[in-house]
Amino acid sequence: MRILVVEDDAKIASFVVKGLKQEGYAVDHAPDGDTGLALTASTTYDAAVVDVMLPGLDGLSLVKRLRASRAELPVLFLSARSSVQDRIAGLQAGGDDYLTKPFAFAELSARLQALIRRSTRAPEATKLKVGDVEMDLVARAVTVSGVAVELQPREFSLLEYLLRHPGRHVTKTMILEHVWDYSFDPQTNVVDVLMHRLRNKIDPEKSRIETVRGVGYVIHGNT
Amino acid sequence: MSFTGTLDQLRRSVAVRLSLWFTVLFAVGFTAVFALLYVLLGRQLEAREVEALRLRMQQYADIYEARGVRGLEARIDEDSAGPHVRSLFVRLVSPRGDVVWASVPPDWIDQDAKRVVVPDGWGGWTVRQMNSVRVPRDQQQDLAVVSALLSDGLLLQVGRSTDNRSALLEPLRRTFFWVGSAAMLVGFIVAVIAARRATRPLHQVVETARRIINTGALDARVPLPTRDDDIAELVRYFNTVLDKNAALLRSMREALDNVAHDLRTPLTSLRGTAELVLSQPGVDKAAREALADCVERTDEVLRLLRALMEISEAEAGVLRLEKSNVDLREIVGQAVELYADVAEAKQIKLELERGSAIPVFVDSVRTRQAVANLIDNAIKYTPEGGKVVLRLSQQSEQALLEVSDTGPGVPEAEQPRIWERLYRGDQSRSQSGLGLGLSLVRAIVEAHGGKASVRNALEGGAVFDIRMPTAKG
Repeated sequence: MRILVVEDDAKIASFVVKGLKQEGYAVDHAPDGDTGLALTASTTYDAAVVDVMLPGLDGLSLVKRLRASRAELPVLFLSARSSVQDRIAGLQAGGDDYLTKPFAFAELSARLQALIRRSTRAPEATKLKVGDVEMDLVARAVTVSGVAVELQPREFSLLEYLLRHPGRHVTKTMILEHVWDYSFDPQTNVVDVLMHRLRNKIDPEKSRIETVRGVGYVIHGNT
Repeated sequence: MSFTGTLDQLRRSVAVRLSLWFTVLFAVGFTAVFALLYVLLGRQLEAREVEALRLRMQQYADIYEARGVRGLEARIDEDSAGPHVRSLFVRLVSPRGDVVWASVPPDWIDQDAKRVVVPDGWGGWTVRQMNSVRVPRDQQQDLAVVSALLSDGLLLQVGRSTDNRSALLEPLRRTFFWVGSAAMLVGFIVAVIAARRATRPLHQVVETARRIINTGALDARVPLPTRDDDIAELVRYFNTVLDKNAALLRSMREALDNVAHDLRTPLTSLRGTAELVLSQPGVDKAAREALADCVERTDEVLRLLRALMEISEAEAGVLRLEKSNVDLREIVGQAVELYADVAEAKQIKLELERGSAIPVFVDSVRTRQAVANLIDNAIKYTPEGGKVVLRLSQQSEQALLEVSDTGPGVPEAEQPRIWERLYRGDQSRSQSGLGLGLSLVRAIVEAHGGKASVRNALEGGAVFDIRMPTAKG
C-alpha cells in the first residue's frame, strides 16, 4: 500500500509520514501542490492525504485536477478550517473525507483505512470476533468466552466500534462521533463513563480493553 | 390574524398616514371655502329681495300720499293682473296697532296675515323709517315684509311669500357634498399611491436590513431609486454603511480564521508527535506520563480556542448558522441521551418531560451543543441523588426550554455574570472545566435571535431557560 502525503508544514508532515510508515504503509511526501500533482502522474497510489492550504497549487485545485485525469484515488483532506462550508467545499472538490486540525493520528489512520477498504470494496462482515469476544451484528448478540452478555444499545455500539478496529487505537472523539453522532467535545467526559460501564460487563479485569492515556482505547485479541 | 395584521401595517405606513392628513386638511379647506360662498350667496339673495320689495313699497307709499287708499287699491289690482307677478301682501296699520286696510293675496292663508307683525315701537317713529323682517312660514317658504311710516302716521307694510333660503340652496349643498366626497376619495387614493411610490426606497431599506439580520447575507444592498433626490441620498449612504460593515466583518472573520490557523498548525504537530510516541510500546513510564499530559493539555487549549472563536463570532454576528426546520424535542432528547450515563453514574435523575413536537428553525448541531452545555452545567452543580428536569413548551413565536436542577442555585448577584466569558462563581472554583460553557450557550442562543436567562426556583435549585424562534409556518 503506497500513500501520498501533500503537506507544507514540515513538522506535521514528519509525524504523519512516520506514523503511517509504522503502520506498514509505503509513504511519499510532497511539500507543495505542484510536486504532489507531479508525483501522482509518475506513481500509482492507494490513497492520498492532502492539506487544503498549500503554497502554489492549493489542495482543492490539486484534487480537482486529479479527478479530471484519474478518478479512483481516495483522498483525505486535512484543514485548519472547520466550518461546514469548508467541509462541503472539500467534498465537492472530489475529496472522500475531511479531517480538521489538530487531529489525533489514530483518527487519521482509521479514516484512511476506511477509505482504502471502501475503494477495494471489501464485503461487510455480519460477525465480529476479537479474542474471546464475539458479536453477531444481525442478531445483535454478544458473547464473552461463550457466555452471553446483555448490552444496552450504546454499550453495543461502543463495543462494535472497538471490534471493527482490533489492535488499533480509537480516540474519544471517534467514539463520540460513532456512538452519539456528536462532533463537539462535551465538557464532562461521557466516553469515560460509557467505557466504564462496558468494561464492567465484558472486561472486569481490564485485560481486553487497554486505555492508552493521551491516545485512546485499544481492544486486544491475544488475552 | 391577517386582517388585523394588515390593519396594523396600514396604521404604521407613513404613506397612508400622510395621505390621511392631507385628505383631512383638504376636507377642512374645501368646507371652509364652501361655507363662505354659501353665506355670501345667501346674503346677496336676501339683499336683492328686500331691495325689490322696498322699491315696490316706495311706489305704493307715493301713490297713497297722492291718491289715498282708493288709488292704492286700484294700483294693486292693476299689478296683480299682470302675468308672472307674485301677488303682494299690503296693509295699513294705525298707530294703535289695528289694521286700517289690508290686501291679502289669495295664496295666503289666514294665519300668514296674523304672523306679519308690526315693528316694535313704530308708533314712536319720528322720522320716516324703514324696516324689513323675514318671518319663517314653513319648510319651503318664508314671508318677507318691509314696513315704512307714512306722512299721516299710518304704517305701510308690504310683504310677499318667498322661497326659504336654505330650501333654495339645498341643491347647491347636495352638489357640494357629492362633489366634495368624490374629490376627497380620489385625492386620498392618488395621495396614497404617490406617497407609496415616494417611500418605496424606504421600504426597501427596511427589507434589506431585515434580510441581513435574518439570514446574515452581508452582500444584500438596497436598489438605488431612479430619481436622484434626498431619499436616493439616504439609500446611497445606507449602502455605503453596509459596504463598510461587510468589509469590517469580512476582515474580522479573516483575522479570526488566520489566528485559528496559526494556532492549529503548531498544536497539530505538537499533539501528533507526542501521540505517535505514546502509541509505540516500550516507552519509559515517566516520559509516557509527560507526553500524555502534553496531548491532554493540547486538547484543552484546542477546546478553549474553539469555544472562544465561536463566542467571538456569535457576538460579532458573523457566526454561520445552518438553519433548518427541526423538532426541538428531538434535539433536546439527543442531548439528554448524551448525558444519560454520566447522570446515572452520579445517581442523578435526568429526565425530559413528555410532550408534543416543537418545530423550530435553528442550526441543529449548535442548538444541541447549547442544550448539552446546559445539561452539563446542571449535572455538575447537582449533588448525588439529585434531579435534573428539562421542560419544553411553546409560547406564541418562541419555543421555551427550562432546565431545572436541585443544586445550590445561583446567588442573585452572580446571575448576570455567569454568562460572561471565563467567569467562575465562588461555588464553581472546585469544579473542573473552563468558564466558557454558559457563554457559549448564550452566544448560540442570541445568534439565533433567542434569549437565555437564569433564576432560582422557589423550592431551591437553579432554573436555566432558553427561548428559540419557532419554525415559520
